[in-house]
Amino acid sequence: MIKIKENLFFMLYACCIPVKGAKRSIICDLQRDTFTYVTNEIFDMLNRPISLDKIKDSAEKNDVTAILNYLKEQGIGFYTSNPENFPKIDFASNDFPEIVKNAIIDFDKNSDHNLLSIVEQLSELRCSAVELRFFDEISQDNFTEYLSCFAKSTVRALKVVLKYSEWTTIENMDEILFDNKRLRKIVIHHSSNTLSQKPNTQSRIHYVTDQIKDAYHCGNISPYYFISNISFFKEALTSNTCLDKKVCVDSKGYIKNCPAMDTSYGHINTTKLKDCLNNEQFKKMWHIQKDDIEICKDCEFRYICTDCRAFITNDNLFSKPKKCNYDPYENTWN
Amino acid sequence: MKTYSELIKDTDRTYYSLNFLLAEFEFTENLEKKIEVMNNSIHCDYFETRDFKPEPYYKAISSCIKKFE
Repeated sequence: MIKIKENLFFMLYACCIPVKGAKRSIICDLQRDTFTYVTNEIFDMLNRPISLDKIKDSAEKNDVTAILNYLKEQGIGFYTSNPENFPKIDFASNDFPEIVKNAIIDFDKNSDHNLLSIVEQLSELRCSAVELRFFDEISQDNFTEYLSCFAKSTVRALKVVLKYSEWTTIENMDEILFDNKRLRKIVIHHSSNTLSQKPNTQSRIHYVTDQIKDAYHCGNISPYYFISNISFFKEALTSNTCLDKKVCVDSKGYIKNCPAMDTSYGHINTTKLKDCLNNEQFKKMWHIQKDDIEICKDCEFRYICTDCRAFITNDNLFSKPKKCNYDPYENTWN
Repeated sequence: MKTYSELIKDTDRTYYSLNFLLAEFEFTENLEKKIEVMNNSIHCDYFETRDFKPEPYYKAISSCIKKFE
């Protein structure tokens, strides 16, 4: 908040949060899912009250005014004489009812785990989002049967990663999306071409040439995965942006924090998902924040970027994700 | 004892809220009375719209694609 003149202050909107990096800062707009680059000097300026009347140098005064006006034009901030009427967002409150927020269930041609049983267990844990990943081809009938397992579930968003086959045409996918409102995103790998379709306002279909053969293809860090919304930002401040309240079943049926990790906490045929949640070691991964991770803690994108603990740069559990090639000290993607 | 959500067709369940579906696990002693109360409750259009639809999730659950075109 910056005092402009007597009884007039410049404020950022509550949903626009500045984040300082090693060399530059960003202002995350948590309502519009965007961010704006600013210099660290502007970040520092926004974090302390300044009275324009006290700036003797007229050139500096002009600069500050120009910056504030620019931020106002961008819809990031505003002038007010009543700053006390605009409190900050309370990121401390916990408004997630889910015991498990999301889950990944992997399948390959040798998998024999019972999806319906897993979905019933996830419903008891109030899980609201699931990703199904199929590394090998499956028939359309089997796929439809898998989707029907969610009919009585608490899952409100479903994402599917499928291997390209004859029936995975755009027309079929459109029909499947129409019949399954929970299904928000379909990614079809091993495709010969790349194609992105948005059949309605809520759903996406992506055909990609990537050859996703197993869980080890996960963990990519790129601007594509940046998310600037309140839920994600809040999660990043207190817990791990990938693994928080996540349970996974790998293609062999083992329960893990992430299918790409080695440590398992039992087999789905013999262990209940809720029993894993009593294991403190299982929940340890949930609490690794970006602020705890080497290099990430200096990155301006740390609260809008996904994390990966399966692939890290060295043996230290708190080291930078291996598949991230951003250098926050030089602001370059290598 | 029955739950109200048992009356909802499987094909229609996607239109109901998380809280509503959780009622699956809470049995009621007098289902008729519950239905009567629900039918006579005052509707709020805003919350009905927001609460009863499947939601886009707020983040990517995994990141196995390197680059989207």
